[in-house]
Amino acid sequence: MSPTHDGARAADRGPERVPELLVEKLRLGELAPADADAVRQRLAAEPGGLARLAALDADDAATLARHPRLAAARAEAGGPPRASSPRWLRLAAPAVLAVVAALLLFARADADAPSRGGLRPKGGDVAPRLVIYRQGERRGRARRRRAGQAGTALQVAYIAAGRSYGAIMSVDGRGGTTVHLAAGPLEQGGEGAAAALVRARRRARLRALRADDARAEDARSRSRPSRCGSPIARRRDRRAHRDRGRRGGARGAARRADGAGGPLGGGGRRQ
Amino acid sequence: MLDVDALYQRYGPMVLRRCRRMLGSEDRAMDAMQDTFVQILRHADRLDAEAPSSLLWRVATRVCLNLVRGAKRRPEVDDGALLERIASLPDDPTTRRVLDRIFAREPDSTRVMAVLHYVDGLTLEETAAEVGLSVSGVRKRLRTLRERLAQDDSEVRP
Repeated sequence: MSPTHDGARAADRGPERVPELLVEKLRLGELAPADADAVRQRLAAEPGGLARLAALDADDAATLARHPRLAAARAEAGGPPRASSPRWLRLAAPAVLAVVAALLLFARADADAPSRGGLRPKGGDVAPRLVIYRQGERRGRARRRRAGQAGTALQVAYIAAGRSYGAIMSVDGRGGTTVHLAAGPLEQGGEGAAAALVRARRRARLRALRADDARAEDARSRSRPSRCGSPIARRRDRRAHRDRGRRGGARGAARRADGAGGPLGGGGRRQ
Repeated sequence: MLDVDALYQRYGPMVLRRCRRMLGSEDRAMDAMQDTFVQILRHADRLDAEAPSSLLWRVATRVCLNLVRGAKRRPEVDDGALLERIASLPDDPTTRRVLDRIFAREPDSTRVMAVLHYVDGLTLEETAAEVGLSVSGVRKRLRTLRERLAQDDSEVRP
């Protein structure tokens, strides 16, 4: 039994209302067995105490029916923008870079590669990967904060690590996807979508792209379509650019993934 | 990796209730709930160290207190259900002064403790269990808070 404010034991307290937190923890099964028994006894002694449990069950169901997911809940509430800093965040996939949320490299091994006779290549297996440079940098990699600034010219390099085919795409702060390297429309999937990679251990650089501003606090987006990649990528970029201009007002947010800006849809309006 | 959807399904309604009771406004409660989960993501490792309900409750309390404190600085903004609850507490000048001081000058941890104990009605031991301190530690913190209040009173009424 727990002591009260003045040290008296709980059993000596009158029929006080059981604190809400304890009732919640009882329902969630997060009380020690002895404490759970004590809370149940107190609820039984409290007028309408046991009905509180049923009321909480009903409230849970109603809340989840109205707001089945966290991000969608905010959009459905449809309230006015908050005076405090807006930190909407699509919690399912936190992004890292301010503008280029993710550069994805898909690469597959060449199924028809000649057998190596059981021998491993010198240096062991190297995984394919992407490297991002700021324009003009010869060494090192773009620091994430600087790479994320609007207008920054970036160059993407890949290391195929022996893989024969691959595709490179990026997802920006507003969820728009740009294909930078692919042989054909990715909707086709399968082998037809992958481009032949330079199978060198040294880095193969693509043409540069310019980071856009994923924030669109006014109707004018300052994004620029990618000028690298396939014609399909450029056509998609133009379409996405046109769509962004139409939507306007979406708070894309080029901020940290810790919620201070919500790179995946700010303002609760793009859910 | 943290399954945010699962966390929300299990604890989201509880957090929303907490925020709604403290703030009164459904819209502000939704904001506070979202902010609470953002805070949790930043400290996801702490979820393994203690019961999630305790951590979420504490974080939600702090988020709401910050919102209320911010509202007090802007008198034109409705300061929510928490202050109404304070006003409706049994006639206890000490409690009222304690809570008023909470919003003005005390650190987050003390404010949360004081709300759990004075407003939510948790005992010292229950409060200590929630905040991860010893009972003596909580008692000392709240006693210091009351002593500061007493000093404030003596300054006001020489």
